[in-house]
Amino acid sequence: MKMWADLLRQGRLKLKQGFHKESVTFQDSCNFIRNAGHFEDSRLLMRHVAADFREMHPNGVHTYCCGSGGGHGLMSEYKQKRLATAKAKAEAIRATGADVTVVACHNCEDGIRDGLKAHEVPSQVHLFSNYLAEAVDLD
Amino acid sequence: MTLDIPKLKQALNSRNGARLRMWLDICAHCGLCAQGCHFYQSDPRPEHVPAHRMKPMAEMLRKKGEVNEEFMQWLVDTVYGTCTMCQRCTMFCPYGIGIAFIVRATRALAVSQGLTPPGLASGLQNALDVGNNLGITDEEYRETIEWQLEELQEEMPNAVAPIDKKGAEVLVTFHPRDIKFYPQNLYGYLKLYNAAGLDFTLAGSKGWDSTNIGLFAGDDPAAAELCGRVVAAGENLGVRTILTAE
Repeated sequence: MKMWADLLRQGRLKLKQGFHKESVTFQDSCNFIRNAGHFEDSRLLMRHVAADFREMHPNGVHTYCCGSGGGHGLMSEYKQKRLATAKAKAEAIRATGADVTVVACHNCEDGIRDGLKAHEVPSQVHLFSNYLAEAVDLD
Repeated sequence: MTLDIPKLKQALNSRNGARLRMWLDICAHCGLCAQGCHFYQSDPRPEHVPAHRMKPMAEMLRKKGEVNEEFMQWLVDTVYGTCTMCQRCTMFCPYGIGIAFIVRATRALAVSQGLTPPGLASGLQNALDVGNNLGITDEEYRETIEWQLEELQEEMPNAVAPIDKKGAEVLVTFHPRDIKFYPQNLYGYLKLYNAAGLDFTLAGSKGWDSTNIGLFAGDDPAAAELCGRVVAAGENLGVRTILTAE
């Protein structure tokens, strides 16, 4: 994420402004945002390519875990608990009304997808790299 | 389950440092951490209050490692089953107690008894034996890269995906699920880096899996081994930067 933001700032990576028209929110991951501090990098990129970006609350360093961190994505014995406790995040996403949730972490991708399904929140989950790759300006 | 108490005591001693002791001592059980936790916010039960997750370690120290199987099962269910180590609770704690740090130290006690939950244990074994946590062969890995590069070249004819290119600026690593289940994610990464004209390389065999299940499991030697492989791949190629997934 830092690399993509740096490349955008340097003018090396060209992304189409407002390319994605559908409403979108962003999952601040515990690793990249709370602990690694890439909040500004993520918003620079999201605001550049998204025409209708909506913050979920809480966000930034106060983000809720997707529910799949700490190895929970791999521990099937605790899956029911994981789905039940994904409610906090699912409701935060529901409140944005966003059609798309962009995630920048593979654990989050699975965790959020499962959580949205379990709590019946109609938002599509897209990986950040793919979301940006679609907006690359090749002209 | 048969416990190896001397080994447990050894693991306990190796974790019993000043920071851990201080945090266990100063927790006032005020419960402010509860509002920080998505387990508690989603399902408010006493055992979902983050401070509760320090209890197995505190009890273990009090009993000096003399515990039974029932205790160990409770420990496992508490520190693996009710915490994702997201560290949100620490932001709500007046003392800033690192509950995730204590959870991870407690997980190491389970590891010492071979009690790592099966899903984590098998992924970790794959990573150690094969080089990635999904057990993908070198052949599958290279074929997936070639396939996605060919797809990309239809959109970007000059796109490249160099493998083991000495002296490249950046080593790009992957999450194994990109290779096995979501190959289109490779397309996205390769498109971004080609579009930016980045001087990058991929690692040929060992060192391309940027995940670290040893870290989640609480298994320090395994975590160091997995991290060391990625670092070694980067050093061998002489890159300046290693990129991990997102």
